[in-house]
This record gives sequence, structure tokens and C-alpha cells, in this order.
Amino acid sequence: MHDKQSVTKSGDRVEEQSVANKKSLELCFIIVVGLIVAAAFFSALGYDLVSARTPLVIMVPLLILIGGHFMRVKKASRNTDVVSILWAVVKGENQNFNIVAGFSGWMVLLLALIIVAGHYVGIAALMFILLRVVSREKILLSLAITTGVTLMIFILFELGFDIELHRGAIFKIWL
Amino acid sequence: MGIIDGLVSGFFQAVSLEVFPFLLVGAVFGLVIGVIPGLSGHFAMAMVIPFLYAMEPGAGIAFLLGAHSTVAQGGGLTAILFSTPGTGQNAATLLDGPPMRDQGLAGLATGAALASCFLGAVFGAVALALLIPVLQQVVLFFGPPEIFVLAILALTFVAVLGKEDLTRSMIAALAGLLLAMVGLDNVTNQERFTLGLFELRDGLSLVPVILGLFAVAEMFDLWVRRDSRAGGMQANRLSAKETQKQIFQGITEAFKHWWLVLRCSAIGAAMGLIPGLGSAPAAFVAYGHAKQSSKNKDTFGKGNIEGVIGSEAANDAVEGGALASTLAFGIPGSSSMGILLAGLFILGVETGPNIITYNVDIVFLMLFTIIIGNLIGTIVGLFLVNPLSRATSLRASILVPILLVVVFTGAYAVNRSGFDIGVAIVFGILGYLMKELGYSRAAMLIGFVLGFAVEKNLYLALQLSGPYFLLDPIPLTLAIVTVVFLGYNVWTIIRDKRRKKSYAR
Repeated sequence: MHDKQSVTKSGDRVEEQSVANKKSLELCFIIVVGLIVAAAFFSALGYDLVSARTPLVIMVPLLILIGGHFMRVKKASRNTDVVSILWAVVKGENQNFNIVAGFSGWMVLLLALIIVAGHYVGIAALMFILLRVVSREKILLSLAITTGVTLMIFILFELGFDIELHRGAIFKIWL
Repeated sequence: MGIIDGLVSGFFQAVSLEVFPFLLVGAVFGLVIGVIPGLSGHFAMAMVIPFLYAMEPGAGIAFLLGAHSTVAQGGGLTAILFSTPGTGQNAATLLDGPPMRDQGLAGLATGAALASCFLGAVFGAVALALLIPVLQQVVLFFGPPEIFVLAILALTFVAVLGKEDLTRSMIAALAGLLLAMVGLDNVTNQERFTLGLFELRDGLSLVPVILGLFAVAEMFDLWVRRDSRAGGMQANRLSAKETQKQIFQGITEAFKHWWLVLRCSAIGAAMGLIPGLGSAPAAFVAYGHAKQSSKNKDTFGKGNIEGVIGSEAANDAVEGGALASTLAFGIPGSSSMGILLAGLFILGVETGPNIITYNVDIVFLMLFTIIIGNLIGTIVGLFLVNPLSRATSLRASILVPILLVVVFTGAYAVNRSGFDIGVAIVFGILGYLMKELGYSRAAMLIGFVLGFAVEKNLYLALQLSGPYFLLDPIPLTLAIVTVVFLGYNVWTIIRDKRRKKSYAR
């Protein structure tokens, strides 16, 4: 009985922390979106009247909505210590953020690899890293999936649809 | 082209060797995606979009709609077998599907769901076919002023009726419209919001935006959770022979309840006409109707086959209604229809009066694609229930890398541009954040897809009638409907908040 109660309490704490994290995230999100829209608004003021008309018609209510929503989120998170949550994120203590940031990093690496080493090298390397290094799948399974999917993409795009995928800067320099 | 000519031509196109193989592949792909919980209809359509560039219009339409039409069938299967709906639209099936499974009637429920889906799709398609003559007359009254106000009305409906919070949805819809403004202005040739980047002069490419918002964002979600999407649920598997026997009985049951199928399909088709409502509310309304009109109300929620039949029939009938506004006015009512509209742009198919009046064969091709796609889904589902259900046990750690490289290859292939992969990544992160924080991705996509039409029609309306175009009868009526609808919903939100506060005191 006692164990059950402590499990429920710790479950509640996790839930509370998750809600607080979400509020902080939304606060940051709405600030970033608001700043981007405000920048777009000021740059639109410099356009021809015809070109600026529709964007301005869209942005005026958008900025009002963002402003109103920011106040709403701020009010809802008045009991949340946003600064310490953000500090925990910076220190790498937020598990979910670490996963998302790490995953984004892998995708950016894929893009860089594709540009430099070519599409097939990029996708094969990313698949193998995600399967073997990050997820610790068996090496044979990782190799089989990497080879199979890369081959399937080659057959589908190059042979099936006659679309030449990027060969990579290195390949182009060598040729 | 006359309606009968269009019908015959549409049918023969759908079963031709140039189109049918794509329909078959699309339908099977949609079924598999539908089976995997978390990957929905718009994910299936987003994955198909990059391939459209290399296809003829007929084949592309069949591939796209074939994939979309079977997703609900796949989702229904997992809702019954694993208590995990593959897509949100199958949530109503959870009420009676799993209890039937627990009684050892999984095959019966599955058969009934598959057949009801098919019958609902046929009803929706027939309803749209019957609407064509009416739509042909109605679209003649819609010029630039009317289309402009109708687009705003549709966006308002999507933002208000979606499951997300109203303010967040409105922000998403307006942000989508704003994103469509990126690039060269068609009238003045002025660069807008391009940050000086050459790649943005033609605007943001549709495909990487769609792939980012709906495919990459799902990959983030899967990766964060990193467990089997079926959540470790084990199906109450019957022997293959017994399952097959029950499935055939289930199909017979769906036909025996033809009157219920008809009524629930009518609910689905009618609700499909309203932008923003989508399949899930239609399925729940149909479920409620099935319960209300049943002689065995007490057994609903405990494994009543009528609950499965009603919700699944409404699910698929929605598509016929949703297609009507998308095709006739070029105004999509849901994210799936938004992706369909983007696909039609890519294939060079023009929506609006042209398609309804002169290219009615394409409309019938779509209708037959939905019908045949669902038939394929039913047949495949009949014989492959057990193997298909194993797709749910695919681990995210395996699924994500595979899907991710396919998505990025698709994003690259469209313009052969690495920049588009970057766009897909940025919109993937944005889509994931929007999903987590409850901002409507559907509203953003529809805003983005409609942005160009909104600006063009506003410009033309102002050129034709000046700022007083809003006082013309149809634009004025539509504008009043928009304002009243939005005002009423804002008022109900404020009223509910006040009530909550007074209860709390």
C-alpha cells in the first residue's frame, strides 16, 4: 500500500515536471516565432505596396494573436521556474531535449555527408550509425539493413525513376 | 466532357495497365502504413509525393489516393487486434473492436471493419458522383472574390474545428499563409523574405515542407519514444483457419447491416463536406448514431459489432465529401486533402471549375481509385491479417533510420537540391514542436497550400471590383458566416472559462 502511494506520488512529480517543461518550451517557441514574424513585418514595410499588402494583412492579426498567446502562456506558467528549466536544458540534464537535439544533429550530419561524400555514402553512414552505434542493433542486422535500403533506393530512384542522386563534392572533384 | 463519358473514361483509366499497378502498390503501401500506429494517412501521402514528379497524372493520382484510401483499413485492423488505432480516425473502433477480440471474435470484428470501410468508401464516392452536376453549376458563381473569402472561411473552419486550441490553430494557419509569401512576388517581381538566398526565390518547395511537417516530425516522435509502437501489446492471435472463417462471417455481417452502413456512411459523407472536421469526429458521431438506433444499446462498448460497422463505414465515407470542396474550389478541408491538392499541382492537374466541368474523367478516376483501393485493401486484409499485424512489432530503432533516408531522398529528388533536405529538417523540427505543443500542422499546411491562391484572388478581386468586392452577395454571405462562426466559438470559449471559474468558487 505504502509502495503504491509512493509510486503514485513519483508519477505525479514526473507529470508535473513534464507540464512545466512543456510550458517553458512553449514560452521559448512563441518568443522565437514572435521575433521572426516581427522581423518579417519590418522587412515587409520596405516592399512595394502591392507586394507588402497581403503579408501585412496576414501579419497584423498574427502578431496580435502571438502577443495575446504569449501573455496567456506566461500567465499559465507563473508558478513555473522557467529559468532553472532552461538552465537544466543548457547543462544537458533534460533527457528528451538531448534526444531531440542529438537526432537533429544526426540529420545535419547526414546533410553535410550528402553534400561532401554523396547521397549513397551519406544515407548508408547515417543508417549504420543510428542502427549500430546509437540503437546498438546487431552488427549483421545493421549491415543488412544499410546495404538493402541503400540498394533499394538506388534501384527505385536511379533505375526506376531515372533520377540521379547527388554524387558528392569529392566525387565531382576527382572526376 | 459529359458525366457519362467521364465515368466510363475514369473507370477504364483506373483499370488500365498504366494506372492499376500504381494503384495496387499505393493501396498495399497505405495498408502497411495504416497498420503501424503513429503513422497516419497524411504520412502515407507525404511519402508518396516525391515520386509524383516522375509519373503521369493518372498513375500519380492512383498512387496517391490508393495509399490514402487504405490507411483507415490498416488502422482499423490494429485498433481491433492491439487496442492501438493505427490512425486517429480509428479511435471510435476501439470502443467495440477490442472487447470483441477479447471474446475470441477478432476475425469477426476485422472482417466487419474491412467490409464496412469498403462500403463506406463506395457510398462516399457515389455521393461525390451525384454531387458533380450540382457542383458544376455552383462553381460558375465562384470568381476571385468568392474564392478568396471561401479560402478564409475554410481556414477558419480548419482552425476552429480541429482538435487543437483555437489560438494556436489560428497562429498556425496565419503562419502557413505567411510562409507561402516567401519568394518572388508574381506581380511586382520583388523578392520577399528570401534572406538573400537564391534557393528561396521560387518560394519554399511544397514537397520538403510537407515531408518535414508530417514525415520527419513523426520520425522525431518515434525516436523520442523509441519503443515498439504497439506498446508491447500482443494480439489475441487465432489460428489462421479460424481467423479466415470469422473474417468471412464479419463481411457477411456488414452486408446484413446494410441499412446501418448506409446511414453511417451518409453521416460520414456529409461531415466530410465541412472543412476541418475530419474522419475522427465523423466516426464518433456515427458510433453514437449506431448506438442510439440499436436494439442492443446495452452491449455497446462491450463488443457490439454494430459499433465497429458504424464507425468504420463513416470513416471512409468522409473522403467523398472532403474531395468535393477540394476539387470544386481548390480549397482543402484537411491535411490529407492539402497534400492531395499539392500532389495535383505537381501532376499539373488544375482544380476548380476546369476539373469539374472539362476534366470530369479525372474526378471519376479519383472516385474509382478510392473504390478499387479500398477493395484491394479489403482483399489483402482478408488473407494477410496475421502477417500484417506483425508490422506493429517493428522497433522504432529499425523503422526510423529506414524511413528517414527514404524521406530525405524524396526531398532531394524533387529539385535535385540539398537545400530541400535542409528545408525538410527545419520543418521536421518545427512540425515536431508543433505536435508536442498542440499547434495544428493541418492548419499550417492548408494555409501554406492556399497562400498563393489567397494572394492571387485578393489581387484579382481588388482589380475587378476594388475594396468593395466584399459587398457582393456571395462574398458578403461567406464573410458573415466566417465572422459569426468565429465569434460564436470565441464566445463559447469565454463562457466556458467563466463557468469553470464560478464552479471553482
